[in-house]
Amino acid sequence: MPNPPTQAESTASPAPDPVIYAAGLSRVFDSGDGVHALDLDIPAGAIFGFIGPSGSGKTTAVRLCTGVLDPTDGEVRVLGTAPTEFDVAMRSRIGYLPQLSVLYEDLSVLQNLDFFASLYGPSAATDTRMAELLDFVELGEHTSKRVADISGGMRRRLSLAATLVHRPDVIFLDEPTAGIDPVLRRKFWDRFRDLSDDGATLFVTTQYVGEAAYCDYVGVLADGHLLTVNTPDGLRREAFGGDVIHVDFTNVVDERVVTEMAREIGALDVDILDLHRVRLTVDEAAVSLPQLSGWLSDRDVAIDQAEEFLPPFDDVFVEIVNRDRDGAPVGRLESDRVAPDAQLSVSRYAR
Amino acid sequence: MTRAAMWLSGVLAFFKKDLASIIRQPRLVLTLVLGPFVILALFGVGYKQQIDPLRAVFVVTDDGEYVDELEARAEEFSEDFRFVGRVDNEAAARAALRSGRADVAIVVPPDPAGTILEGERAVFTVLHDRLDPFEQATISLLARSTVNGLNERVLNELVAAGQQEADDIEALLPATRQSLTAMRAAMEAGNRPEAIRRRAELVAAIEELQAQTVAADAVVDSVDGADGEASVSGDLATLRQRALDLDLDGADGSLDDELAAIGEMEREVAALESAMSDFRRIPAEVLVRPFGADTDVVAAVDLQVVDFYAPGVIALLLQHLGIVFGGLSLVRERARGTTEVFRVAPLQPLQILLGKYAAYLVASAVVAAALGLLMLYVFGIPLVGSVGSFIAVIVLLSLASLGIGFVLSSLVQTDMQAVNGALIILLLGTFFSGFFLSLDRLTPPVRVVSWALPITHAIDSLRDVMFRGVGVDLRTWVALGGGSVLLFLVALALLHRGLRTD
Repeated sequence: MPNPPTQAESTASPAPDPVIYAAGLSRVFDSGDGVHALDLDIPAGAIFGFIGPSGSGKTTAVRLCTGVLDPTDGEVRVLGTAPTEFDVAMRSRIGYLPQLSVLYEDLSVLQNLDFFASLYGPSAATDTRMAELLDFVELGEHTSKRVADISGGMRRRLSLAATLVHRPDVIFLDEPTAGIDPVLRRKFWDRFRDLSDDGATLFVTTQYVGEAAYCDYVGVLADGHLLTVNTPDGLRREAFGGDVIHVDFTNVVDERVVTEMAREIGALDVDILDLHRVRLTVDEAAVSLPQLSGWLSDRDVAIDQAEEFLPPFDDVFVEIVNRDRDGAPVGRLESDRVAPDAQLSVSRYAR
Repeated sequence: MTRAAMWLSGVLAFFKKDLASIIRQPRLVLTLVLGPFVILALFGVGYKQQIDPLRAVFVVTDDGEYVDELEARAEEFSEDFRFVGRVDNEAAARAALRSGRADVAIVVPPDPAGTILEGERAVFTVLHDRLDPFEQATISLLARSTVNGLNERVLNELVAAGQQEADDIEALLPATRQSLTAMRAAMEAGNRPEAIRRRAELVAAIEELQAQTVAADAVVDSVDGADGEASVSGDLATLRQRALDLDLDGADGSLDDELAAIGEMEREVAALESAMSDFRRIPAEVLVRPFGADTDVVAAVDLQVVDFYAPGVIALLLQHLGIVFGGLSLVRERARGTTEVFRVAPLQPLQILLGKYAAYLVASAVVAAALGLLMLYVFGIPLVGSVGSFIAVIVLLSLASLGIGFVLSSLVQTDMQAVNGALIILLLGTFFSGFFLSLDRLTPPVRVVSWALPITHAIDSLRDVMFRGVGVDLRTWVALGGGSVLLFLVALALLHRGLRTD
């Protein structure tokens, strides 16, 4: 697996043979909205999650990558070719699931799948392949039902089957899990992982920040700007400046003890969350946790528990966006490390 | 997999999808077939060849005795008006029209006999409250027809009176001829006193004839085609004057001259006898209306009104169907967002358009076939020409209509706009295609609009095929076939533009 295709890295030197590559990719509409200077470098077989709030430019980015839209600036290449120059063979390697349903409501499940499969030739529209796909999305029992009569989740699954029916190498999925229940969303991501394991490259947009955990790489988009690209873990660390450890004291937190403890284990940041709980930001939790345990034992400080805390991606996302809005650099992991002898600022009840 | 197979697969995808979409709406198909059928059936059952008599009130502003007779015989004058009352002023008549108690008010001219005797026409004015120009024209026609009937009746009575007089005249003419014969015999015998006595008898007979020619005079003139100089009374006056001018006492002329003059008078009397005989022999109706008119249709079949409109209904439905199918098709794909998928998929606009054309053409053909069979076998509408020609026109019309629909669909933004566009073209077709208004009633510049519509060619050709038994003419092939190709190319160019990267 290549290194995380961060924005800075991808701008500096594209990874060899990236499946999706963009440099300074922009599309600005008359209203001023759009996407600005996107840099992407997505390797083959990766699941790339594009996370951002509604209106942040995710769909525009997908449309630029699929050739539906022309860029106003910059360049984009998919499988080494600009999307506006795709020929028939290249288009046959692309799968695209638009954000809104494009299914024909008056047709049956099977008729819809047959239509979209036939667009890619007879080999995609074989009974065997369609049956395989319908089983894959668990619609094998509903082939004759009209789309108008099936649930929203079933429609989304059918749309996914229609996108995959021709075995594309690169799959663009624009909010595939929008509006469906968590159980089904999890199934979707399991399917995406299967596809990735089979060698397909997936470009998935989502509003559900928590879905970042299923991706190999995650790009955070806000107001048309790509704030960062990282692995899910890297993103978490980026947001909080390192790993997070929660320490629950048996007694009320003593600020002097906390400060000394943080300095001793080389914490980057410390927040007192409530009367008993403290959050420590450390470089590596796996290293700091044994140190912390030993120090507490030596000092005879009673605690209920001390463990690594994985902040939910919602918090990660909010943190990244807020930092961007505050003008703070995103990804301070390397840049704002606190020296072991530096004076730690302790913030109380920071939650 | 060959590229051709993949290309064909794309075409078939749209063909199957759009056809299935129609088949999945049985109510739509049923409406398309049964709708026009029911409309035509209602029209056939409800259409009246004859107009009901119009309820008429007479507006009589004087108290002439003739009015009672007029009312009594009102319905004899015309079957088109039914007398329902009499009022004595126009205001009351207008009130009757507004209230719906009467359809028309006939204002009777005051003192018509006096007006005619003064050498002027006595004019009946017909008031009505109809707004429809066609109804207005109909009432005007009925009014003229009724007055013509009235005039004819008057003339009939006049001619009948003349013929009665001619009978009397003819009875008197032998006495005239006998007096002439006796006068000639007396002259030839040299008995001039006898000749003078016979002349007095002759003059008396002629004067008696002159007294009988009041009514017959003009009528006999019209029969003979003579001008005023040769009228019956004029002939008799000339005859009388010649008798008086004879030099029976031998003072000025020779005997031969007088005998020649008597011979001329005998020939004139014989001619008059012949004219009287002809006049009495010819029926009064023929004398009043010597010329008639009759028409015959040279088409292969006699048509009922419903028959005549059937091709128009089929054509109008198919054109509308094609335009709606095509018009909604692309705009709905855009609204659904599928065009975005088409842009990404390995598709060409030509595949999309061919697939859709094929699907809608099949659907139109099925509707046309069902409708045609219902009309042929339920209504008994004739199809004199070949089924092949009928199918050719239907296919050409459907292709052209689909072309209009697809062009429309590429130009509009919403399906509402597409439906409105289709309705406007339907209205154009209804008014300008010759569906119910002959193209001869349109000015030449407006006829350009008519012939720009596929339906105009289709209706014209379908009527030829169905009722005259002829094939599809070259003009139809060129107009509908060429138009279809042109529209296809325009639709293709527009679709290509629509699927381009934004």
